[in-house]
Formats: sequence, structure tokens, C-alpha cells
Amino acid sequence: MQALLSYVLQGTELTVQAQGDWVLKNLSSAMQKALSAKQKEIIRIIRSRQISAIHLTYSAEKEEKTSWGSLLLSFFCQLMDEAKKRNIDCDSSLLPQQVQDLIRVSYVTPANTKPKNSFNIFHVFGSLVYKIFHQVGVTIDFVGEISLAMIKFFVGKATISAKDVWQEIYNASASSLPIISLVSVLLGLILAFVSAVQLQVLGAEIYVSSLITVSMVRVMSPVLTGIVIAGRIGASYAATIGSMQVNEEVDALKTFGINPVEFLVLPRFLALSLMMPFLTVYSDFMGILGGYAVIYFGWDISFYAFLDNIQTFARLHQIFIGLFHAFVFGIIIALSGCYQGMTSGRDAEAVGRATTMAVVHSIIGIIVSTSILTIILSGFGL
Amino acid sequence: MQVSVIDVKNLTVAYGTKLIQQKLTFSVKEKDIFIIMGGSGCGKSSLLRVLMGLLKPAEGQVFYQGTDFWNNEKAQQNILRSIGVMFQGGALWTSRTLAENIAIPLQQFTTLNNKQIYELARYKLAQVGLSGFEEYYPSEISGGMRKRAGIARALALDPSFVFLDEPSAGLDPVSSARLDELILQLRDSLGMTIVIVTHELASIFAVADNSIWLDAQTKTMLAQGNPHELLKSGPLVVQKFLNRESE
Repeated sequence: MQALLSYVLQGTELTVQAQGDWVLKNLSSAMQKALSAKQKEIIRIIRSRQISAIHLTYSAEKEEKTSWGSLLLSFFCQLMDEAKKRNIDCDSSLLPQQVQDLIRVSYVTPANTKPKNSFNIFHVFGSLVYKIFHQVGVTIDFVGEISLAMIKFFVGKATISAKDVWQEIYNASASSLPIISLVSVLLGLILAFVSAVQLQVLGAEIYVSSLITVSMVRVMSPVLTGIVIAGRIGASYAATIGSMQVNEEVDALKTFGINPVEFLVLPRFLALSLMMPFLTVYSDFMGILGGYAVIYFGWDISFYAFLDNIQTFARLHQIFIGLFHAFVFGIIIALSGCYQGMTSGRDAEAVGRATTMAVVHSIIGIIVSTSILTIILSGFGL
Repeated sequence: MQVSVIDVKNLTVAYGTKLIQQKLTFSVKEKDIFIIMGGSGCGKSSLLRVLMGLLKPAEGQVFYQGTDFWNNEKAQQNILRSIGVMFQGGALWTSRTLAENIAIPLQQFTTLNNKQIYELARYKLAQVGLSGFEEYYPSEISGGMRKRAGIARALALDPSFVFLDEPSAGLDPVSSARLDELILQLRDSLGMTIVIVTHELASIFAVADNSIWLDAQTKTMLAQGNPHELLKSGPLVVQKFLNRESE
């Protein structure tokens, strides 16, 4: 028997009659639409007319005795709520006992009436200001904790395992080499090709070697390595520590009296700040190699001439400037990744957000610190 | 007379080469509340994953109303649509409100309008005692509430089969008893067949029609029957389990 919904209006009394199989999976699309239209019509009548009582009924054939689906039950509940709002008597006693039980269970627990969000401009503004100050406070607190942990480390009192540090060194260095190789070689190729084409006009393509070397070692390699590591390692720090927050692993450390900053953040911080300069040297080498490949195959410049030009124009302090950049970027990436992980919320979405923020903050940090360092170093004539 | 709606035949559950349970054969009858019991790590949840289509069995068959689930890809989608699952932690989608969590399957598989879907979601949440929490996100409610919301979502499409993984674990006794009452009502009033994995003895005795007991040592099913009967005449290890006695 197919689902039917009808009503009879006698004076001010409305009788709503439902019949047949209302189980969702047994209702065709057309049937769902027809029932929906009828439901709307009945609600409209209750809202627009003077109704004193509503009677709910349901009938089905024997084999369909449990064929009232949630669609019917939710509609009956909706009618009862409408009736209650309008002080109309709603009689459900004619419904089968099981339907009455199912409706009753929906009203056993009183509805939560506490409003979730009330828009208030002062509340919104106040929350924003609070959030900003709170964020600044948490950041300062975190940097302070790291500094204390570093001091404890140097005096040999930090809760840190050498195994963890080595594991993080491996994660941050050896496992990153393939991607750094690829990106650095390609960047060297591109830089060499673009500059060689321009310098060829002046017959100065030999200077491509010093141009690539100086630009790679001084700024390009550290920035490129920083961005790759931010995406690869910084994000993984945020995701790992964030997931540990979700699983209450960080809380478990605290209950043992173990400082999570020393245990989780310090090994990562040490590993990344130490490894970034090494990765940068590797990136320098790969970038220069990529550049040499272009000018050797494209412009037939010998390896001797290539090295000679580098020796003439490149200076040792430029390498150290690049390494200093890399060291600073390592600190920024580690701080950003670990900070986002440690302050992450406790659900999957929050961990995802923390991971994204770790990468975004690291990249912004890299660009801003490069600008600041460049200005400072040019002030010293470097 | 009740007919079998789920038939498990000679089923072996394994993760790669790691054997979890072997040679399981049992039937779940229509409108039964069927409990999968056993000690920790015996493979109850793994068996449930096989029944709900998440883990392919190493051997054996699972029949839903006579259809071989794992060897009939065409029928799988239809069978899955008649299954509702509540995972241990609720497994709610954290970026959606509770109402949206319930609305998603309804939007996918029905042509109901948004208002109707919202009313249905509201009704489902009211059924599990979460009326008024429609606009809350999972992160804004307690673990017990998340569990109940998970049950509401499992019931979204009026499934014929409901699988509940540890539904009352972590709930207070009152909520747990209320959940038992709800489970009985779903069976009695909506004619659902319910399969539950649980350790909670009070719940087992309150709701179970039939059960199996899985053993972690032998990796087989040691007993099958009504828990009240197993308490009296089941194997000793099962009696001890049901009596809450130590080894």
C-alpha cells in the first residue's frame, strides 16, 4: 500500500490521516514530492485558519505494521510543535501505540533552549580584541617556553631524547634531499637560461656563472629551501603535534610532569635550525650545477671558464650570508609548525587549519625576514 | 517465525597475514538485537567492519537477505543503503553542524526539500535526546552527545540494519539505560535489525535477543545464543565473562 496523506476539516477540527508505507527507501521521488506538497498544505491550514483541535491517525495493512518511516514521524512531531505554539489540542491517541512511543521518546529530553549565537556588535568587537591580545600572549608565552627549554638544553637539564633529535634530523634533511635536488636544479636551469639569453646580447654570457652563483648562495637557495621545507617539514610538525593534541597525547605528557615543549618542540627546533644551513649548501651546489648544464650545452662554455668567473666575482661572505638566512628560516619554520601544532584545536578540521597556517606563516616569515636581513646587511655594506 | 536476514558462512577475518577470527558461521534473524561479544582485541570491531562492507573477508561469505554481499558488486550499493552505522567515537563530520551531519545522506539519497530534511534531522536528534542542538558543531558537544548524534545519523535513511560499535561505552548509566530503551524501541517500532558490539553487561542483558562470543585465544566463535542462556549453560569462559568474574 503506497504512502498517502490526507486531511478532513470539520468546523474547527482538523483530522490528519496517514496511510501506507512511509519508509524512506520505499518512497519514489514523485511520491516524496507529493507528500511534501501535502505536508506544506496541512501546515498552511493550521497557520492560516482557526483550528481548535488536531487529530492524528495512521492506518496500514497488516504486513506493513512497522511501515511508518521517519518522514511521517517527523511530520507528526512538526504538527504537534505547531499545535503547541498555537495552543491547539493535538490528539495522538488514535495512532498505533508504537508510533506514540516513538513520538514520546522525542520529547523525553527537554529541548536545549540556550541560544547558541546572539549577534552583538560589542561582543564581536570585544571578542576580536580579546583574540588578538590572547594570540599575542600565547605567542610570547610559546617563544618564552622555547627560550627556557633552550637554556635548559644548554645546561643539560632538558627532557630531550637524543634518539628523537636524530630522527628529526633525518626527517628534516636526508628525506628532503630528492625534492630539494629537483627544485634547485630546475631553478638553476631557469635562472641560467633567462640571464644567458639577455647577456648574450652584450656578448657577456660568461657572466652567467657568477650571476647564478651569487644569486643562489646569497638568497635564492635559502629562500627556495625554506619554502620547500616549510611545505614539507613545517606542515608535518603542525599535523603531527596537532594530531597528538586530538589524541590527548600532549596531555598525557603533562600528567607525567614532562614539559611538552622540551619533549616535542625542542628536538624539532634543534634539528631544523641545524639542518637548514646544510640543506642550503646542498641546494647551492645543485642550483649551480643546473646553471652550468645550461651554459655548457647552450653556449659551450668550459668548466674552467665557468669556475674562473665564479672565483673572480663571488665572495666568501656571500655564502655565510646565505647560511645565516637559512639558519633564521629554520628557526621560523620550526617555531611556526610547532606553535600551530601545540595551539591546534582538538578535531580533524582544526588540525588541517593548523597545518595550513604553519605553511602560510612560515612563508610570510621567510619573505619578511629576508627583507629585514637584506636591509640590515646592506647597512653594513654587505 | 523469524527469518534470517544476515547469514555469515565460514568467515575468516584477517589483516594481511594477521589472522583475527576464523570459520565464523552464524545468522542474524529479522528484527533481532544481535550482540557481538568477546574480550578486548578478539576482533569484534573487525567482524563488524566486514559486515558493514569496510573490510573484505579473507574467506567466507556474508549474505544479506540471501544476497552475497562481497561477491555481488551490483547489489552492494543497495545493501549499503539499507545499513546505518554508528562508529565508536561517533565519527561525525567536524566541519558540519549536527543537523547537517544527518542531512548529508538525506540530500544524497532522497528528493526531499531542505525544510523536510531539516525537520527530519531535528526529529532524529530529538529521538536521541539532542533536541535544540541542531546548529551545534561536534566540537561544541560532549563525547556522549557525539555518540548519540552518531546514532541519529545512522538512522537518517530509516535503515533496515543498524550496526552500533560500542554505543554505550563512556556514557553515564542514565544515558546508557536511555540508549538501551531507544534501541529496543527502534527494533519494536521501526522493525530494524540491530547488530551491536559491546562490553557493557547491563546493556547486553537489557536488549539482546541473540549473541555470539568471540575468543581471542583460539580466534574462533566459542558460543552463540541468548546471553541469559549462555550465562547458565554456555562455556565456562563465557559464563565468567557474563558474570564479570576474573580468570
